[in-house]
Amino acid sequence: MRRLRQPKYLVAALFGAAYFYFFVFGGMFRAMGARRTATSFEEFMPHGTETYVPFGAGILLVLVLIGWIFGRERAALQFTEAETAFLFPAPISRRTLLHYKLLRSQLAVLFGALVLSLIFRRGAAFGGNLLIHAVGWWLILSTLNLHATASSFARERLFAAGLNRPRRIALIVVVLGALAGAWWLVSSRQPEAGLVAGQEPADLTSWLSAQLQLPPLGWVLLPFGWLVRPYLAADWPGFFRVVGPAALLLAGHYFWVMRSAVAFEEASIEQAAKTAQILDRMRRGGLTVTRTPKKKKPQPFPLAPRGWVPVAFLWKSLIGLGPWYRLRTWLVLAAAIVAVTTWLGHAPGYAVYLKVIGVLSMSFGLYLLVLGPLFLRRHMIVILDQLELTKSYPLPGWQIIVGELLTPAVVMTFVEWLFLLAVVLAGGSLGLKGQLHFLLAGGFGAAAGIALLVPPLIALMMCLPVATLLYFPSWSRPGSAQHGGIEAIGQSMILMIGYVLALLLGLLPAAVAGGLAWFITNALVGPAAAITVALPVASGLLVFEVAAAVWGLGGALERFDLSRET
Amino acid sequence: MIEVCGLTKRYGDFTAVRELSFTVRPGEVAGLVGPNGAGKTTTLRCAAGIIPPTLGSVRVAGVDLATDPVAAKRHLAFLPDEPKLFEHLTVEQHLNFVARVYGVADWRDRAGPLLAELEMDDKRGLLPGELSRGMKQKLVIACGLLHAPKVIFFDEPLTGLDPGGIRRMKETMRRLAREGAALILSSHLLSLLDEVCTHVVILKAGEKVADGPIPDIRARYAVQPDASLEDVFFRATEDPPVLEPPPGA
Repeated sequence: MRRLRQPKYLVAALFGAAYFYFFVFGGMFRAMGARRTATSFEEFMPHGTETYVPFGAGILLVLVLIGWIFGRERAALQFTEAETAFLFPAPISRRTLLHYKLLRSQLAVLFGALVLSLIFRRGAAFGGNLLIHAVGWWLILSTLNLHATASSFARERLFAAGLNRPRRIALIVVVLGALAGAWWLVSSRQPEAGLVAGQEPADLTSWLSAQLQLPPLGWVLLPFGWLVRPYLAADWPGFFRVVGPAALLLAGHYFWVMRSAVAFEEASIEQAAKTAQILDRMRRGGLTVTRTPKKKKPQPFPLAPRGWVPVAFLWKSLIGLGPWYRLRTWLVLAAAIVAVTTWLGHAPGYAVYLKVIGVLSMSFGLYLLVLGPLFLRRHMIVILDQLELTKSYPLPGWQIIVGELLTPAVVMTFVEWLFLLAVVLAGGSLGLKGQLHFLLAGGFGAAAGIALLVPPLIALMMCLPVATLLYFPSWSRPGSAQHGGIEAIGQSMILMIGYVLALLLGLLPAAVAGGLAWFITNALVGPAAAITVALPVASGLLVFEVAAAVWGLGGALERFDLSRET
Repeated sequence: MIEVCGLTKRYGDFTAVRELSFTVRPGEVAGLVGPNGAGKTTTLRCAAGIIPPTLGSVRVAGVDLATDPVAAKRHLAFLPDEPKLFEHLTVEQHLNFVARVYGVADWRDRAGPLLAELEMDDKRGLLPGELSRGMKQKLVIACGLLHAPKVIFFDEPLTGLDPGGIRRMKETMRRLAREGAALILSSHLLSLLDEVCTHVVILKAGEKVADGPIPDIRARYAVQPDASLEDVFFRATEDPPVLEPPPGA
C-alpha cells in the first residue's frame, strides 16, 4: 500500500483493476449467459476439437518430460519451515502428511483452474460453459500435480538403485530417440496429407494432428489425450462421455503417490530451510534467487586487464551462462541448419518438413524479437541486486548499461540469426506473397541486410526492461507479497503494451529512413539494389536510436537512488 | 582524503543524515559509530557515490564526487557488510574482472601478495558457493584493494571472520593507513574502533554529536582518562549528552 502512494505504481494498480473489471469479470458474466454459437466455434476451430487434442496432449507430454529430465533426485515435498518443525516430529503418519500436502496444494490447483478458465473463456471459442472448462482445468492441474509428486518418489527410488540424473537423462534420450525413430518410419510410409506449397495453414494443422496420432507417438499421447478431452467438451453430455478415462487417470495417480511414498522428510527439511534462507535474504535486500553454481566454468576468452570495460561484463555473463554459449556452438548449429535444410530441399517428398521448419523459425523468431525482452526479468533482478556494487565502480552510467545489455543482446542476436538462416534456406518452400517473398527470395544480399537490422533492433528492445528497472524498480523485485495481485497484473499489461508501442515507435524512424532510401534507390537503380541500400540505412538509424537510449539510461542510472527502492 | 561537507539525505519528511561534515586525511582511520538507524550506512553509501545525497558534497582525493564521479571512484573502495559476489566467478576470475574495471594492468602481480595476506592463495579456483562467510568477506576485500585505493570505506568488516582473520584484518587496516590511505570504518564493535581508529565520528538520529581524534573525544565525554570508547559512546549518545566540564571549571 505504501508503494501505491507513488503515482507510477498507482497507475499500474488501476490498470490491473480495470483489466479485471472489464475483461475478466465482465467477460465471465457475459460468458456465463452466452450460448455457444456455431459461427464463432467453427470459425475458431474449423476442424473440431478432436484435431486439437493431440496438440494439448503433446504439451502435457513435454511438461511431464521436463519434470523427469530436470527433476531432483531426492524426493522433496514443499513444506514451510514451520510445517517441518511442527508436523514432522508430531505423531502423524507419512500418509497423513502426504494427504495434508496434497490437500493444501489443492488450494493452488483450484485457484489456478479458476483463473485459467476465466482467461481462456474470452470469446467462448471452445463452446461448453465455464464450469466444464474449470473442471477440465482442475483435472489437468490435479493430475499433473499428483504426477509431479509420484515421479519425485520414483526418481528417488531410481537414484537409490543407481540411476542418477545423468544416467536418467541418457535413458530418457535413448527412449525418446527410439520413439522418434519408430514414429519417423511410420510417418514416412504414410501418404502425404495433400499438403503442397501454397496451401492454407489450416491444412497444416490437420496434417500435424494426424502425424501426432501415428504410432508409436500416438500411443504415448493417448493418456494425455484423455486428460485434455474433458476440457474441450462442448456440453455436459459430451463431458460425461469423456471424463471417465481422465478420472481413472487421476485416481491412478493418487494410488501411485500413496503406494510409492518414500522417506521425503529429510530432503523436504533441507528444501524448506533453503527456501526460508532465500526468502529471508530477499527480505533483507538481497534479491537474487539464482541457484548457486557448484562447478567452475571455463572463460569464453582471456580477459585482458585493459580495454573497453563493457566487454568485461560480457565475459563475466558468458561464464555464468556456461560453455554452450560460445561462437563454436553457434557455428555448429548454423552448419546443422544448412545441412538439414539442404537435404530436405533435395529429398523428394520431404518438402513439407522444410515448410514446417520455415514457418516455425519465422514464428519463433518474431515471437522472440517482440517478447524476448520480457523474459529478461530475471536478468533485471540480478542487475538490481548487484547495483550497489556496480555503482561503486569508476564507470559512467552508459558504460554500465552497455555492459549489462551486451550479453542478452549478443545471445539473442545470434539466436535470431539462426532463425533467419532457417527461414532464408526454407524460404523457397514457404510460398509467401508480395514484398516479403521478394525480400526473402532476394537472396543472401537481402538476408544480410535483415541480419544487420537484428542487433540494433534487439538492443533497442533490451533498453525497455532496463528502463523499467530504473523507472519502476519495485516491479523488478522478486517473490515479495507486493509482487502479486492486481498491481502485478496491471504492471504486466503496461509493460506488454509499452514494449509493443516502443517497438513500433522505435521502428518508425528507421522504417521512414529505410523507405526513403528504397524509393530513391529503386528509382535510380532498381529494386534489388534498393533493398540492399534501404536495410543498412534503417539499421544505421536504429544504431543511432540505441546510442541515444543508452546515453539517456546511463544518466538515469547515475541519478538512480537505490536506497529509495530497497 | 575524504571531505564530507554538509551531507544531507532526506526521504520525504524523514531525514536520514542531516548536515554532516567531517574530514579524514591520508593516514587517518575514522570510526563511524552510532546507534541503529543513526545514518552510518547511508553516510557511507553517499560518500561512495552509490546513492546521491539530497544536499552537500563529498570530495574523494580532491575530486568532487558529484561533478566527476568516475575520477573520484577510481580512488576509492567500498567494502559492504554483506559480501556481494558473482556466484559463477572463481576467486581469480573476480580479481580478473575487477582488474579490467579499474584498469589494473599488473593485477596478477598484485593479487599474489593480497591473497597470501588474506590466506586465500590456495582458494583461487573456488567459487563463492564453496567459500565460508569469512572467506567471502576476504574476497570482497581483495577485490577492493586490488587497485590500491587511496580512500577505503569498511562497513562492518569483521563480520564472519574467525579470531585469526580478525587479527589479520586489523593489521591490514593499520598497514593501509601507514601507506597513506584514508579509511572510514563503520562498526558496532567499539573495541575494534578503539584499537584501530585514530578518529571517531559519532552519529545519532542522522546528526553528528562528536567528531575528532579519539583522545579528544575521550576527554570531552569520559569520566576517567582511560575510559573505554564504549563509555564515551554511551555518554555521547545519551539525551542530552553527558559532557565532562573542562579542567579548572
